[in-house]
Amino acid sequence: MSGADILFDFLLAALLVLLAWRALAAPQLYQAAIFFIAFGLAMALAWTRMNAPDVALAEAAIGAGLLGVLLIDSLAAFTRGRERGEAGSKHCADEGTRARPMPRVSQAVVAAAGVVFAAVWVTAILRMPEGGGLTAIAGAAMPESGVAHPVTAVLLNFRGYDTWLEVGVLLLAMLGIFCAVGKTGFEREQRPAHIDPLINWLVRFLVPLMVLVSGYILWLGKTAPGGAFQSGVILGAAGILLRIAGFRTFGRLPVWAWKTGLVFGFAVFLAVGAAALPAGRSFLEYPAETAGAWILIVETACALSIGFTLLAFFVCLNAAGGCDGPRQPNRTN
Amino acid sequence: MSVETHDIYMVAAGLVFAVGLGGVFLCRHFFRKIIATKMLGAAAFLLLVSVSRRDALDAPDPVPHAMVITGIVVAVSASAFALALARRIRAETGQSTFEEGDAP
Repeated sequence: MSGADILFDFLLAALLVLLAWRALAAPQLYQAAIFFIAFGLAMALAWTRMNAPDVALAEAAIGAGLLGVLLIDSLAAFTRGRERGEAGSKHCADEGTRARPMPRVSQAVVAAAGVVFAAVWVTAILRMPEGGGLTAIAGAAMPESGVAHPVTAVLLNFRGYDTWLEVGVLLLAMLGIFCAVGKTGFEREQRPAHIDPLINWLVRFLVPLMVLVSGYILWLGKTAPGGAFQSGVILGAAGILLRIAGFRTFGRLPVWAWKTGLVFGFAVFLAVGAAALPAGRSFLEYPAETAGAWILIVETACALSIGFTLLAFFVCLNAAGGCDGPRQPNRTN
Repeated sequence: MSVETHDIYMVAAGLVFAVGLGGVFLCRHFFRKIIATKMLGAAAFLLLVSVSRRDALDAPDPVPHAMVITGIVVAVSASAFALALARRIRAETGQSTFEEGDAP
């Protein structure tokens, strides 16, 4: 390790902590959202420093990008009431979230807890044993996995179960969002398309490119960093871009098409996993010779479904509105 | 004892976790609580990846990497659901904190 590397890592680590703190302490919610996105990007940089490019891709795309879009979109919902001259209008954008001065006792408790936590943490790091990881085991099993990239092999073969259930978690989150804010986003016809010529040109240029990159990253996952998640997020981002720009591409889809898109990845994964059962193998166990093909099928289905689900997150949240949302037809004020 | 890249991020993970934990308890607005929860997740991921070089082989341990990728997607799903809940609460009650009688 050269001195410059260490210095860079120190600065980046300090930046991470600083951004985390500012995201929570900045006076306005908008600042908090921006600091959070910056935090996500700094995290992505940290992943590449730690030799984890797959994680960096996922973090930059999902952690910083997609969640950033959702946060900024929600910002409008949280601050909308102020403009209508409601009781809270005298407050800043943060609406009464400026912490009241903390009592001295609480300050002492927080400080003490912090010191204890730091001590435990540092002790744990110092006593961390060397070895004990699964690198060698994963490496030894690579020939049976059907792919050449270890992370993809773990994600879709060795620990396929986790990934299947993760797609299930996406589905569950979607169902939760349906319950919380309704699915008006799928039904409501979008406002007549009035698209800025510049944005029109940009989107028409970017979206095909994003679909292409998405397919490339999906294919790349076999041998290099990339794969279903990163590819799915790029697809989802393309959809969100279309939606924000005012294109009605997804506004015309019937609800059943949305539903199919949402469960597609989970269902294909389940079917592929179950196909192993009659042959006497265990669930999600691919035969070594054809594993590559099965993984590609599962990855393609998952990428499509993940892209669709992330788009649906945005569409549902975006259509939900704020305190004057469509869910309150008989609200008194 | 020489300092390694991963050690630095391991310490950073602890600090980010502390900041996030403080945020979960001290911030009042849902928006910030959600961000703080996400910070806790990010700290856990940082720790998990920074222990992935314990084997000290040429290649990093793919298992923590895969777990973190899975974790990032799950964390974002949970955050999106939390945002939906917060917006529903805001729509129903006009409140953006858990405290009674707050400004809308």
